Amino acid sequence: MDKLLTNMNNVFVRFPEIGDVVVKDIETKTPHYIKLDSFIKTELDESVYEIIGAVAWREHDKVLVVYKENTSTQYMNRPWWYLSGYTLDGTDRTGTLSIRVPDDNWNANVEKVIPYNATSAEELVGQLNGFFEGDADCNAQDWYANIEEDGSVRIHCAGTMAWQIFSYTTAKAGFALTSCAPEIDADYVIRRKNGNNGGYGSIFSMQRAMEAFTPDLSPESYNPSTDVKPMDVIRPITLPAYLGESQYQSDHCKALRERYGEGRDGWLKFLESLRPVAPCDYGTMRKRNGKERTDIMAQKMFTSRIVSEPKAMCNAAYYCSNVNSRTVDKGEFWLPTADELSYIFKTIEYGTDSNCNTDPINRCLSQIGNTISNKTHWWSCCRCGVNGAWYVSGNWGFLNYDYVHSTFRVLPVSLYTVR
Amino acid sequence: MEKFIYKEKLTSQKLNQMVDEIEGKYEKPSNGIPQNDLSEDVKTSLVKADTALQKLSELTSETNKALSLLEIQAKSLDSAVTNIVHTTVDDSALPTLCGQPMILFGEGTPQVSVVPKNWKQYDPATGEGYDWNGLPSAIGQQYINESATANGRYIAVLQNNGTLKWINF
Repeated sequence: MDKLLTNMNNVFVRFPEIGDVVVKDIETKTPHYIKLDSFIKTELDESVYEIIGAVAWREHDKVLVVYKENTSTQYMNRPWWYLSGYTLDGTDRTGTLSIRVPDDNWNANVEKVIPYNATSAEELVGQLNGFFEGDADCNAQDWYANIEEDGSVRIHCAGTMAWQIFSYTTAKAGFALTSCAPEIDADYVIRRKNGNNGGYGSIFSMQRAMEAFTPDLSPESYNPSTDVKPMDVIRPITLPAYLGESQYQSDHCKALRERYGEGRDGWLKFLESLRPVAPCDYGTMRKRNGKERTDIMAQKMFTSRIVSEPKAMCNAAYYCSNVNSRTVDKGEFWLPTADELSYIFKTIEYGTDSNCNTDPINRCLSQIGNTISNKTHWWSCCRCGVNGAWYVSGNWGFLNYDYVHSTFRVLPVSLYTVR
Repeated sequence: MEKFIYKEKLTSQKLNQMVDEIEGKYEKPSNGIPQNDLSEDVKTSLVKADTALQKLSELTSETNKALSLLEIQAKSLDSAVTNIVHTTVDDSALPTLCGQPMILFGEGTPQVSVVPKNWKQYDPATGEGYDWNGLPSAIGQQYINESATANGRYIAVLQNNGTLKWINF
């Protein structure tokens, strides 16, 4: 087979393997797959085929594809809430919004009592915007109100200043608010192979975790100060701590060594036990509808007093959903779920390995577009709490969460079916 | 006195002939009449009888073998039926839910300390499976408490917070 491939270029296959090149027929938009070992870009007739990306995973006839390009952006830059509790009877009324301001480092709420006298939602929105413009705090945060297609009153503001805005904005005394971005549900837990249902710390990139946790580290999160049993462990433990040789703690990992084995080999088996259970109906990993989630977020747009042209409120989802070309339609790609990222990062070695040809996905992407490094952070479409979202950590190799207005890498993915 | 009427004159020749006849008379051996002394038609009948007897013997042997085999198979079947009742069925070929059996069997209510008999625990050597923690692996999974005389059936449902729990039904 190898000899055959060296004599043949751009060999098309029906059932691709990880790293194979994904192209689409320009006329029919049908996806095809080219064996990576045979791929010669200069010999591909790009008037017939458009290069799309790389195969990241395949199970039976389902092919997970990563797009050839990726970018850096925020998960969400503009939080929103839906207002209720108001009365539209044309009498003088007030409602109170309680918001965070920069004073005292965003650590305290300030109440804004808003007077209104309206007989319609349009009148109310106009008066709200009038108040926001005239109030220094609200003006500085670009608070704005609009009416949605379903008639609901939405208020929103600039969210890049502080995560506290997402978490602590409330209403009272005549107004009520939903939680921030209520259409996007959040999960906090991930089931691991060791049985633990904890939060952050499940290993997605073994390569990165091995590198990050080989040295002796002092934080008790990674170097326990009390005896631990296998199911207790949420996050990786450093190699010296596992062996009972840490300079920072005495030996608390005897039960782990009894289960997984001695030495470095035992430590590696212990790290494997922190991989997420996938597929799984529990917690964050049960969210396998990435396209639907991305569509919901990508459609969230806003204008404001200072933004006249519609802009995306959920940047990462908007970017992925709007990937389009001659053969790729808008909405065809989406922001990956945590489940999909778990499959992709099983293969990625570039980053911890400086050679992009080490893993097949990057060997492909390096020839057609942007590579994926396991030393950078990658957003998922899964939310974690009011102000956070899940991402694969380039520092630790595990799934972590961070504030939604943080800027991380964004990798569009899609799922094709072999015909 | 004429008491003995001899109708033919007994010559020496005649006497010798009579002696020969007497001496030529078949005398049955003490061990029985050998087959070669029998007439051809009798010999043929005997051969046929022998052949029939041989075939009957062979048939009986085959029949006995078949009966023995049937007996063995019957015992095996009986044993297998018994084992089905008393041991775990190999469900490795059955569909799974998130990598675990659709129906779990445990000796007690579903909890961390009661690992279902057919749950696929995490194997560090292969990386396969994942440890039981008392909670379901997938929506719709069932758990049977084999120790219960009633109300021993549970089903997995999704909670609002995205976790799973067992409902007794």
